[in-house]
Amino acid sequence: MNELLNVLTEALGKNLPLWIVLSSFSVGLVIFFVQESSHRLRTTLNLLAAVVKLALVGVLLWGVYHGQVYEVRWVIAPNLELLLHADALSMLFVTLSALLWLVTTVYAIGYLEHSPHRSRFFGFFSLCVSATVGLALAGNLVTFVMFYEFLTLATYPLVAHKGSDEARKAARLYLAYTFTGGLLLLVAVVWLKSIAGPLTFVQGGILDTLPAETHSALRWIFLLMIVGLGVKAALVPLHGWLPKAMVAPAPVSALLHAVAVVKAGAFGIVRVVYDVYGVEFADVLGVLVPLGIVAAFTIVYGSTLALFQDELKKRLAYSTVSQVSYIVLGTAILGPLATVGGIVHLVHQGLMKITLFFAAGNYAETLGIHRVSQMNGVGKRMPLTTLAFTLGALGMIGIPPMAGFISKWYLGLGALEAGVLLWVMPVLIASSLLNAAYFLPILYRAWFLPADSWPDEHIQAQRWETHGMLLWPPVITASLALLAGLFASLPFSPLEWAQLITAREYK
Amino acid sequence: MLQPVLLELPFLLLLAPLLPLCFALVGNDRIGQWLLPVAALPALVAAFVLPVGTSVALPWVLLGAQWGLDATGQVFLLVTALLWLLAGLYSVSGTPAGASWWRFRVFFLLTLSGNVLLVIAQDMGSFFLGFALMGLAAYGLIAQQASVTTRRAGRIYLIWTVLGEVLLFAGAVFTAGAIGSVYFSEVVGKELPLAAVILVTLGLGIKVALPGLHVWLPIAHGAAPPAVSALLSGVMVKAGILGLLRFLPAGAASTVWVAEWLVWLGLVGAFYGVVFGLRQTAPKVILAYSTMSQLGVLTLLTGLGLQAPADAALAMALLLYVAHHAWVKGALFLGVGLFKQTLSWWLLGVLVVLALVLIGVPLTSGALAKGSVKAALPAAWQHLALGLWLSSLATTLLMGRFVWSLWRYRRQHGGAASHHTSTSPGLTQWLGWAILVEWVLWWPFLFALPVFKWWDVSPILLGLGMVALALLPRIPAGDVPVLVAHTGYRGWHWVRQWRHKHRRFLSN
Amino acid sequence: MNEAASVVWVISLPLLGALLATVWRQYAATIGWVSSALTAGCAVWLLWVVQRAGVQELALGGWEIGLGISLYADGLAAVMVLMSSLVVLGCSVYARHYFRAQRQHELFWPLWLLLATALNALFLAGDLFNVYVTLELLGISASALTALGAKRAALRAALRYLVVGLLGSMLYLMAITLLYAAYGTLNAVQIAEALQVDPLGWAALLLMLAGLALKMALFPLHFWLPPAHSNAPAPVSAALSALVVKAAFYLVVRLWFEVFAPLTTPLLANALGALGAMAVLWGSWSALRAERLKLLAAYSSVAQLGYLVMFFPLLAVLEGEARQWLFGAMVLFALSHAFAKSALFLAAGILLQYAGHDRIRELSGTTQALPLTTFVIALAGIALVGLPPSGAFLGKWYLLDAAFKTGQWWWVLVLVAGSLLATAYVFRLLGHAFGHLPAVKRPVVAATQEIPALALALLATFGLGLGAMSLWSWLAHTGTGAGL
Repeated sequence: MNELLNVLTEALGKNLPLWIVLSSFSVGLVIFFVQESSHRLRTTLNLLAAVVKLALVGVLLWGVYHGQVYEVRWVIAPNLELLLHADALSMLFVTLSALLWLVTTVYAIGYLEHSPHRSRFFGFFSLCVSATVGLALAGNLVTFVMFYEFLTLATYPLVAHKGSDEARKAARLYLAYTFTGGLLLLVAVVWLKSIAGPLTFVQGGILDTLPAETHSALRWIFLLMIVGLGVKAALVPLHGWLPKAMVAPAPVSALLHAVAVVKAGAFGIVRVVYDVYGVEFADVLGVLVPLGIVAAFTIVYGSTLALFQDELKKRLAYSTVSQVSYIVLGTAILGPLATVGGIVHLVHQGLMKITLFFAAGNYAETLGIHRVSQMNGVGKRMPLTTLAFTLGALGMIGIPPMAGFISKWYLGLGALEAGVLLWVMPVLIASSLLNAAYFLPILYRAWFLPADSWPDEHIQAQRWETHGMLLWPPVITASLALLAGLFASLPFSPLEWAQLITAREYK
Repeated sequence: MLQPVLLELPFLLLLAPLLPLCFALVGNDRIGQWLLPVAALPALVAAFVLPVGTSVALPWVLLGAQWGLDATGQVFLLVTALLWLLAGLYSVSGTPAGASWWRFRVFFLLTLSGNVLLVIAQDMGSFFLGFALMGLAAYGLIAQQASVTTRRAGRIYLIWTVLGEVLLFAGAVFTAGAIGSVYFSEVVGKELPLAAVILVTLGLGIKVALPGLHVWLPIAHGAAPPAVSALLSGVMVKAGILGLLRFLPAGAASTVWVAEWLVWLGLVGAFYGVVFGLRQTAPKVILAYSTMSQLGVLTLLTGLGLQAPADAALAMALLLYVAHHAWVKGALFLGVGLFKQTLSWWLLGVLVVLALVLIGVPLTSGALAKGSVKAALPAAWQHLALGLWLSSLATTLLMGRFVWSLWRYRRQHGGAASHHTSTSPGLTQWLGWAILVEWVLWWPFLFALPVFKWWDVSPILLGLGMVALALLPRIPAGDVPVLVAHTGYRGWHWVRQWRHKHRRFLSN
Repeated sequence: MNEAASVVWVISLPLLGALLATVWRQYAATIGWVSSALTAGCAVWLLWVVQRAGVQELALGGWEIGLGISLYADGLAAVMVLMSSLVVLGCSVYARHYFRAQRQHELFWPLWLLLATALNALFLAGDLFNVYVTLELLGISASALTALGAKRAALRAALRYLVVGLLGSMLYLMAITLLYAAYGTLNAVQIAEALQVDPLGWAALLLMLAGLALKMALFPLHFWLPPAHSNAPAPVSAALSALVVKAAFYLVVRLWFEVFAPLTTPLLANALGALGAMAVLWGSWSALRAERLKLLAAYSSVAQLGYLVMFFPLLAVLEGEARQWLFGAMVLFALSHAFAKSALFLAAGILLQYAGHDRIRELSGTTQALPLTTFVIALAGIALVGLPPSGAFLGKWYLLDAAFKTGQWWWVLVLVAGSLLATAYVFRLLGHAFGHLPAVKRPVVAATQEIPALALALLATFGLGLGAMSLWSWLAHTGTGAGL
């Protein structure tokens, strides 16, 4: 086995990150030209690309673990280079997205079985993941920005996919937010580059050697960057697009919320704080506390608004607003434990939220259920889906042994370590209570109330409660979320990996 | 050959919480119901077989788990497992009416798993997991019937439970951060920040129904099926006591500060429960208030125990009290369930006996527990003896009210047993309850019973006297002579009627 | 073959093609695209020659420099020639199908190749009078091509275009008369060496700038552009927007940085930049308000030329390496715009042919009917907005970079506002294109129309965005050293 992997890494060489990006990018381009009716060819291509990507990521992971260096450089203009680089943090995100992409692809194939424009959809779907992976593997801020913008472009057609007025309006709003953010990020990066030179990501940051007179500029740049990234990460008050973007098909929502867009913003904030500014230097600049306050406010605000949504996907969307800010909160608290909490939530939130969206999609696709008030008794009709939903929801509340518990635990410990428990703990408590308040009634309806008639039953229950390709993805992701929490201390678990990253950040 | 394996292997320890979990997945209705008692078997065996100090490390689970048995844990496990087993047996045929049997079974097993896990947990992660699993899954047991009151009860229970869990979580994070470890063994002898102690106390205080945090308890008990109430009152609320013992480092300054509060709060709770229980009419609600009152005593003892780390007598008293209350209260609730189904007089009689056990008449576990408590009172807290005396009196009164409420229930529902319940009790219901009653009456004789003292019995006698007075028929003005005359008249009247009725028969 | 011959070939090949197309009308289309292809090949050759052997100077007819027609090819000129030849090639391939069924077919090709000739000659002209001649040739052939639109609006626009072009040329002519009177030569290099800072020089500079600003439609002299560009046939619009205005811009660059270098004060540069900024804002805003796709594209050209002018004030204060980078970025921006805008116009032409109109509001369902065309529009849009990967992205990057380095942050604000507006108009278009139309039949669109558009769009985005590094080394081969 090791020999085989050796041979593989040898053959793929240092360019492995590039192949990983291209594996989905090229397939995406090919899929655009696949005839609408050739279902089998498209499915094969999709799954093949997803599996190949996952395999390549596996090889990369193995290589990085064994200390090999993967770097692809490409000078695009004087003093400007694209750099793909695999470090521990990027591996965390790359693995998450490659894994969830495979699952989501399966789900999307099942979900869009009879809808039009599948080639276009899957083409952009692949591009979207390429952008995400590229962004994860970006070795400097320039590359990051390029993939960040590319991601916006690739997701726009997905949000607008249904072509209805509502979808187009949502897509327009999405663009308005994300492009403004992207532009501000670009301005900030150029500004920073004019001050600090090449912006290669280095663990521990690169800016602390700059003279003191640049510090006020650095604060402004930080603000611009956080605004730019915060749009995607849906920090309040930049979150307005997210609940509207719910008109997109369920796999897109899942991808948007768990893997690609929102995560890209959060990941960017992590990168900027840790690998550009350096968390200790950011603390010296005094920018962490405001960031933490914004995150805290977002957490409570998102949860509160979620309470009042009857539309299931909207409720989940506001829940995302709240949950993603845990990552930001963990980043904003100085200290290794909070860092672990924030980074590990990157994975945990992804697993749990994608489960919830898959389940929501299943309800809509199988029974036509779009609203919480229609969910009475759905647990009996769709037990596995509802079980997955339940696990995801409990995880969001932070109940062990789901993954969300681990995140919250470390965030709390981190807050204690940094001496900010006084305001972080109330936020965590309030958020948990609010999460319980908007998730538990759903579970109650689903499991305890007798069923009414379903709004629009498309798929009859046969052997399984719904189409297999819709059923298994949420079950798998829910199991992963469970395992990630239950066996959090196993080697190679997200938690362990986050601890590895953290150990390198605080040298 | 099997025995060394059993002895040696901590696998029993693993099996104890995991077997119920696995059983929860079995969908078959025909064998499914028998899994309820069976699921508690490993825990019971573990409690008997495994030596104190057994422990198994699961470093890759959660935050690094460790499961094991210490002396306290062993007693708790024994109490817990036995009650679960018998309640499970009771439930095999005692399906709550109108409920989904499948759902009941799944939640029963999940709750059992959580309860056992929190007893054997020696790290905060596992404890919290068990605590949360038990707390949340119990919702499914309480909200069995689909009635408005049940839903309301379930909702209130859930709100308080989640609140407690979140507070406990905060406290646990605080504690773990302060001592730098998640293992309870590391807590011992450390100093904790006061905020951590308060958070933990508040979180667990909801479970042990500290006055003010007790709202959920009578409501939930009133709505839950008898077996569930038995478990809730008997063992689940005791998780709070265990949690306090586990999380708080005995003797540390901040703990002592909170522990003094606990003593007083416990005392208040002991009377609070009685005062408001006395105004209730439903038998199960009265029992629930009695539970709150008894939990007050337990909280008081815990408060005392947390101030003195090495007081073995106190610890022993606490454990005895836990066992006493768990089993008696379990037997009472199950008995009420049977009584409601049958309305038979002899059941009422047994319930009266059980009530007397709870009160602590001599030669019962109540006397044993109370005696040992009294013996173990630290010198500085001797004045509490008066409080305990009053508490005994109060309990007696409350049990009087309980018996009265049963009698009233019977009168209201008429003599016909099948008037309002569709089923007569099944065999396993009788079996489970009978074993429990047997055990309740028998187990105190394993210990040296306290010497009989009038002082100990005086509150009981006084209480019984007051109850008797309250239960006497209305007394007309002119009291005894009038009463005698009245009785004579009634007797004469009765005789005349009898004669009139049977005249033809007699004349034949 | 002589290396310098490449300079001649890029001009004479299209000229020859124009003549042949006039003679053999039935083969005009074939002649047209073959000669465009050959010209493109020669343009590559020219670039290679300049790269290898340095600046090429050539006096046609054996007259020494200063008297006859002199040609001058440095890195910048070669790059511009390559740009124009590629766009012309793309449009030529496209035009074969586009004009297939139309009467103007025979008129188109000679004029078209003449336009190509004029462009290349202008880029390579070595003295100011040659420039004038090519400018006139360019203006006339361009307005004639505009008139091919044959509608009433097209004719009116063409006429206005012609008059404006002539006016611009006249201003330019006055300026070179002044210069000739003062220095007795029209050779760019010689004037640059002799130029003095005096009122005459100022007058000449301002006249030239005014004339060329008119020709490049710099705000507020842009009024003629939108009608002309939006009413011409698609390939013509493409060339007009991509190349013809770029030719005027090229001349401004040449004159500004080489001939009039001593006169160009930062104040003047800032004034130009301010005009550019207004062009950006006004052009983008108008594009956002535009009802028709081609009008949108035309207004977008106004804005994009504004960006190009915004480089001037920054180039005026930057020094050394950073200045060279910025200069390269400006050229890159011009190239990116040329390819993107021509692609956009070609795509708009396809849309117009298919739908019969190009009203933006009624474009619902384009994505389903014309996926590739929509894709081209999207790619071109990326390049116009300046999103990565595209040449415009890099251009804007350096513009921002320079603004921060020199502390002139107000350009940043303009750039941000302009980019937001650009995003808005591009995605307004795409948003409508993504709308649903119930039943869609796949139209038959000739691959020869879609593929050139796609190629140009890809060139503007991925080509220039990721592979433009060598541009800077090409530009390093610049002759006079008078500032470039």
